[in-house]
Amino acid sequence: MASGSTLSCRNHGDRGAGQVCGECGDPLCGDCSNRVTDVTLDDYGAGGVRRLIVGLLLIAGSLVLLDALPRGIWLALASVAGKPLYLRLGLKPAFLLTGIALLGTLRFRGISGGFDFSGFSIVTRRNNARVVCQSCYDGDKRLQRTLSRVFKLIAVALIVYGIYQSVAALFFRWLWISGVGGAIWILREDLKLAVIELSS
Amino acid sequence: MYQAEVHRTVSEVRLLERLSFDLTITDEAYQSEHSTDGEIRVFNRADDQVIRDREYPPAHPLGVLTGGVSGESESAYPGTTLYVGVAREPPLEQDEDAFQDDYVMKAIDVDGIPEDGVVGVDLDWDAAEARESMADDTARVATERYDISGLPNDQLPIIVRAELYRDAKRILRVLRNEEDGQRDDLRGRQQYEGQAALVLDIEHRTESGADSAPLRVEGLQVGLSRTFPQIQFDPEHGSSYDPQSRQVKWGSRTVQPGDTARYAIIGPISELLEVDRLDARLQATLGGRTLSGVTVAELFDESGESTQQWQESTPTVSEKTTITAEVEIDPSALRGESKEVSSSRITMQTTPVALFNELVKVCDRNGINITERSPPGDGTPVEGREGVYDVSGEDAGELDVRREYGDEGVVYAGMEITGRYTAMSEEAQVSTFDETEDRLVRRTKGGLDDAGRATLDIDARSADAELNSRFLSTIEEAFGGEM
Ligand SMILES: [Zn+2]
Ligand SMILES: [Zn+2]
Repeated sequence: MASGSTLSCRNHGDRGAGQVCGECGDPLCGDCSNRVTDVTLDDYGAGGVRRLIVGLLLIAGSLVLLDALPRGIWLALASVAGKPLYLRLGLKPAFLLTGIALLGTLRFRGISGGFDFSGFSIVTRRNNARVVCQSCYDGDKRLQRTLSRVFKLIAVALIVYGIYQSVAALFFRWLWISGVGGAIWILREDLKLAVIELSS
Repeated sequence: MYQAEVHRTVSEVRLLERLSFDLTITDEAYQSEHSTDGEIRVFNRADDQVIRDREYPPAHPLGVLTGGVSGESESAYPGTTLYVGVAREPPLEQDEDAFQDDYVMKAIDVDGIPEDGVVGVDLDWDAAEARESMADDTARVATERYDISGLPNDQLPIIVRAELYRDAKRILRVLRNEEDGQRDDLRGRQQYEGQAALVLDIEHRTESGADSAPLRVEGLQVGLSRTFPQIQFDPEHGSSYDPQSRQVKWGSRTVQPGDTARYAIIGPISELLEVDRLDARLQATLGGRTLSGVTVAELFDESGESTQQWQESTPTVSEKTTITAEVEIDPSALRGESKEVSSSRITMQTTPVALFNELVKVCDRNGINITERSPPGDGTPVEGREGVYDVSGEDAGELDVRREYGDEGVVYAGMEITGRYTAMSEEAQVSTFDETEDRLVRRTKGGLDDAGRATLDIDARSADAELNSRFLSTIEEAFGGEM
């Protein structure tokens, strides 16, 4: 740095390297670097409290608020559609599942086994991209990439299926399937982490 | 953006190479050696977050329920590995010849770090250590060492030389850094008349490359095995001498490439030569430069992104070479010019003591300075021959002398006298040689056949053999060509 020297790309000796493989340390040029969302590079951030509130609101909505709404709303919707929609029955599990999923992404600090809650805080686990070389991309990170894709695919499929079924048949009980999909989407990195932990 | 701990904790990265230079000049040996090594130093400090992350690591609710807070795989959390990207530049650029360039690059081997790659430095803390760092407000230094080998002598940034000058004119020129042929300064010369100067030169070699940083001499410290009242130092300014510990110290100074830092110890030659041992220790630094050409190219965190992408202030990066030169000199080995050695042996029908006394007179008459004398001892009785004594080994007589031949040079000679004598002849001989007249000596010589037998061995040293033989013939002629 002091002398203005640069690293050169492991694959293209004549190109400078702006980054290195975060896994094996090889210097890489822009063309040779891949980015992978790597659960082992997660860090923690603020915003835990907000997410906790949203999650709790969704759960409360599922358990209490939807029931507390005036029955007139549901009846009005049913009369518009010309048949009962069972919208409440679909929203309740969907809200519950996404609420629980949101809570599942939270982490806690300051719980050291006892009752000392000094320094207690709720944090969010954040995903980060890691620069990797081609061989680490194809090797070490393959499982993570596959899992990411699989969980995203399942989540999207379930969400779309649930909505499609509900709308097509005007039978909104199917929304619980979208709820499952939403929960998987929210928890996809945590699920990935769980699989990696279990498989290692 | 990834928030690695190293973004906050690392304040400085230093690349430090060390050159240890040893020069030994004694009568037995002339040795010049150097060794080199290097290290990457990462300065890092803990903050509150470091302690918090160790004492209260984030935990998943399920993990807490199942009884563990460390349930999660956290391979890169909190991000304690710093990748130090190192690159190498050839330390010497030789643009004339590509082959030469290759050669230079390969000549120096660096072992322990890549030539173009990263060194992963683990900067993890344990909570107690982090607390301590914060309490003391001190940076912790992580060190990655590497070896440098094959640094050729002609690529050393410094050249260390030691020389002894005896001629007032030369001394003045050397100390004033003047070229030969400049106007003679008679008055300046006066102060060095009869003096000798032991000069230590530290030359900062000019590089062929463009950016040559000045050499910073932090200090020079010289310890002497003995001292004498007339001792002087040059440069006087910036020097401090403690006669008690016989140590002289010079303070810091800067030496531009191609220049020489010159230090001298001045005194009468006989006194200087009496100093058996002189230990000099020099410490210097070269900023912004390494011997091996290794440089820190860039720093990266575990996500693989360079400091340029970091949100926090980037650590400072520097390169430095420290030089330690240890010089051990026996000043008498520098009389030096004494590269040519000539020997002669003279055997006479006389006693060793008589020859010794005669020799002292010969020296006095011929302007030969005796620097050290020890007359022959009594000797040991020879077995089987009553009244005969053998003078050799410890009992041998010794004379160390010096003969100056003006501008031509100086001859140093060691003379040793061995032989045999009978107890009776000894008394007679002493009185014979007590006569100062040449005539008397020559006359009595013939009658000493059975008095004994003495051998004189002479080793003459000087810059040239011709001077040696001139000296030897002076002695030989004084003894009537008898050999
Ligand atoms: Zn890699
Ligand atoms: Zn490349």
